[in-house]
Amino acid sequence: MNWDRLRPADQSVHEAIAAGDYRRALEALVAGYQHPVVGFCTHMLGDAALGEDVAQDVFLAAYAAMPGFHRHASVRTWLFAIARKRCLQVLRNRRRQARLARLKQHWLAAGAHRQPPPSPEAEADSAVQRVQAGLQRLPEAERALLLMRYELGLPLTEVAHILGTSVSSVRRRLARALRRLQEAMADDA
Amino acid sequence: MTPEELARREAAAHAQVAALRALAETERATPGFAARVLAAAGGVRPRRAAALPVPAGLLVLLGLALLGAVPQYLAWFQALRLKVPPAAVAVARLQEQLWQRNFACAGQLDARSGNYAALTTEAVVVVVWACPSGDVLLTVESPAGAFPRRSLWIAHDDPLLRQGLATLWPRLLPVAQAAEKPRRPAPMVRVLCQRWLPRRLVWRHVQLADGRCQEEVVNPRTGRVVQRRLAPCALACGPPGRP
Repeated sequence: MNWDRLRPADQSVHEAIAAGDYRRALEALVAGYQHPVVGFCTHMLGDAALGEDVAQDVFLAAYAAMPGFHRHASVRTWLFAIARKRCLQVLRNRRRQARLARLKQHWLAAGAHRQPPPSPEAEADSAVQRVQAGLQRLPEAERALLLMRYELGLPLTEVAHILGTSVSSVRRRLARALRRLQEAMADDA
Repeated sequence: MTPEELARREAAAHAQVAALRALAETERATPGFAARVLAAAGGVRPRRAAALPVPAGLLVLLGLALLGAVPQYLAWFQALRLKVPPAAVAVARLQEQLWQRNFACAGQLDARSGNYAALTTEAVVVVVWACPSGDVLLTVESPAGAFPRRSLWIAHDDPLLRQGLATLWPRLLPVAQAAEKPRRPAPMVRVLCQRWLPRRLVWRHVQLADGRCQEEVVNPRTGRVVQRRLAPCALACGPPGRP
């Protein structure tokens, strides 16, 4: 991710927020960050339509929180902290609903004396597709960490700031997440 | 973990890292996404979140705790004002009220009266003086001077006084029993004169059983004689004053 090309957008966001023109700040924010935020949310959730819906929520949440935005803060750190939090919330809700659906399906299958159908496995025939499938098998926090660091290319210091931890801890978590991703992709193969 | 260790791990997983980096180009917002966000923003109002230094729930709990402790603060204040321990405030206030109610009666204390009774042992002397109100003035003395003379009003209908007695007697009696070389007591047999002093203290001119007389100052809240000295029995008695 080439963040340098977003510097003008960051500048516009800072100026508009300082002037209290939040609408203009939102326009600059969406114009600059719509693709990275949609991409991050899609890969976090493994669903393009849902990813775009959640990305829209992320921008609206950022818009609502603009009066509290610190003048010297980094726009992208702030925005992706919101995005990560929103995606993790959606995943938690989805997991809860999936548990209920599985339970319901199990009861129905038991009533019909047949096994529930197996979940469809995504066919992965390219490296990118395989890594997408592998990501979905990782714990959500590790998935977010890998996407922030490698897909978005955020510096370690910014990732540490978003997670509220030290850079050393981020390195350790990244190494562990990479190993797990390798294992997940090896299993798929 | 050091940067070199992470770099080694990234090198080992270079294919995965490259694929993760390539993800950035795979998903893009659909056309019209920005317009949809801006349209939806019409229903959102940016506002500053109220920032509290501590969680609101904790503040409420703290407020309730402070409010609930108000009676305790009042008790401490009263204890400071009356110069008694906080636990004895209620008893002290009642004792003072009884002194005010029976002040004239207390000034008529006389061993020759039918209202007077004395319980005399080698260690302790208890003088009982009954008043028409039904209240009884109990004066406890140590013939050996092991503890200062103390007066206590008893009102039979008052549970607080019963509680006060329960706390006072255990302290008083062991001291009296521990007194060494007791001699025959010379209890107070007559109150010759009595009046209120500033700071709501009571001054008394009393005659003892041995015929001597003394002046004493009593704290009506604790019943203790805080000052005493021998004095001539013929003293002019002024007006009783006001508490």
